[in-house]
Amino acid sequence: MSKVLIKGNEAVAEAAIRSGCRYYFGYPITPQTEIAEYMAKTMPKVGGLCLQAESEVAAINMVYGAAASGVRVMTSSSSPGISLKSEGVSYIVGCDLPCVILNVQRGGPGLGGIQPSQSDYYQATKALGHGDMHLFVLAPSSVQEMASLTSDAFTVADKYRMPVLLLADGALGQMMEPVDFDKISFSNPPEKPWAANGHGGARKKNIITSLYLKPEELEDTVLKRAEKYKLVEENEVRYEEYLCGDADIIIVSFGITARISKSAVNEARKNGIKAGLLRPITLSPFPSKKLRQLADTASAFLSVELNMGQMVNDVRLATECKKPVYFYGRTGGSMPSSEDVYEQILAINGGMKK
Amino acid sequence: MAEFDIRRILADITVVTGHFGAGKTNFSANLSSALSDLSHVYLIDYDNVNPYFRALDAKKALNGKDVTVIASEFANTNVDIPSVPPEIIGALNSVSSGDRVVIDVGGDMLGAVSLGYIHDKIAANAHGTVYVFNAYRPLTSTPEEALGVMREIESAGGFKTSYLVNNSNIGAATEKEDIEKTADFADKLSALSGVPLLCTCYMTESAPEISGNVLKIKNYTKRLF
Repeated sequence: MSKVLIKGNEAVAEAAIRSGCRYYFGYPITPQTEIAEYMAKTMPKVGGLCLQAESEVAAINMVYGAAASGVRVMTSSSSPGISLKSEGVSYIVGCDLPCVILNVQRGGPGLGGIQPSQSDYYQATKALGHGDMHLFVLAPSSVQEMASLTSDAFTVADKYRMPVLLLADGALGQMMEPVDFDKISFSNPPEKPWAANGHGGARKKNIITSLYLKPEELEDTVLKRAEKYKLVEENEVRYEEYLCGDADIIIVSFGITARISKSAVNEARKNGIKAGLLRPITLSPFPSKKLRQLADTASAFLSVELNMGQMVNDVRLATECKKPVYFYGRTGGSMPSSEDVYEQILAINGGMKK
Repeated sequence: MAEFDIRRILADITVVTGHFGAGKTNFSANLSSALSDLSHVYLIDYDNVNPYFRALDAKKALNGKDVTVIASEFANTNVDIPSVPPEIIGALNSVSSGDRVVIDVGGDMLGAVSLGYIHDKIAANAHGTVYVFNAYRPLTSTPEEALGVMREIESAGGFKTSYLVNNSNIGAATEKEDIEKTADFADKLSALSGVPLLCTCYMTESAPEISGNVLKIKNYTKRLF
């Protein structure tokens, strides 16, 4: 099996298994249940374990335990289920443990709906858990990337000993596209001398905890973690740049809306409007430096999201208000068409000319 | 290789099953469109599994054809509860007055379970079951796996499979050769199951060069961008 026709959710599951992930803990929720189904069918064939926990809270704490033992492990859910996991995520960060978490976003708040959304951007990038913490957040925008970024997620998680969140949406999870697994490189799990996996008296015991009795000790670990975040920002920021070089209007968009926006950019170019697209692939750390540079050459930015305007504020911060930053979005499970986005480009272009 | 006239499916009621993502919905829409040359057709969106991509999406594209699409009033909404549209009983009853029915069943055995509710109504009429498979789907990537899924569906839905339909493709990237490569797979599945291969579907410009029937189909699935 090299090239297959596959759903986004299945692509994540298959890529996780190829990345050496042998433990999956989850709880069903639309629109990501295919992951658990795929894991349930496939994990026994590769000697792994797929376990449906009694709740999302239980599942993330099983991930916590498995990660502490040094194995590659993941969980997945959709928006309301991810909220439930946030306490466990904070503990995992507090222990500097690697794991992969997938959010196939649906409409919110509350139970919301089952149609696609990007309304968990704030939660993913600012506060999926209490404490001074960040996750490494990757935003795939095709089924191929659902697979390839899953592989990268495991690599980054192990490299920096931090949880990686894959922020997808219902459309990416459910839609089918060809995926070429031969084009993806999969890393082997590295040695983990810090893991609590039994020592038989042969070494000093490894203690994994997020509890520090002395304030100075806790401060020290938080400071060290902040150093790590700085390193991640230096080394791991990723984005796709499409026709930005000479662009007057640059759309900033991630995930499924970046696909829609790209069509709109092409339409604009056909009609003589210099439009471009900057697609952040890492949402945290955010490609701020790149946007700051683009603010010197572009005339306006347009953030297109499936929410009421969340990433748009990161675009404003990154561009230091040098140029106007507009927003266009749909929410509640509705999707904009590329024509809708093109109309926004036209409106901005008209305004600039006035 | 011969171009297949899908209207040769003689049954009044055709039940379309398969692994999820095999292309059941698109095949059902194509079949309904073709059968509407002969009589009025009810296309029943009987998918209680898939939240997003379903037969209801083909409604607009089937406009102008003598096809009535019946779907749960909750299809494509936020109601995440499997439900059966009451209109299907009327549709199944109308078979006696010359209408044809195509039932697009949800994926795998989980989707086929709901066939139990209308089993007797289907069994009382001339009916056939088509098992659609795609050799490029990871969980049915060997004839043995595809047979396993087929047997699970048969036992959950209560119907033996009458025909196989080879719908192997890798989406828009499909080349004619990709389909041709699956001919052996199809023959082996047919031999293993004892079920005849009805046809091999294609959307490519020219037909795959294989022995047996080929069927040119249209794309009725929802496009997001």
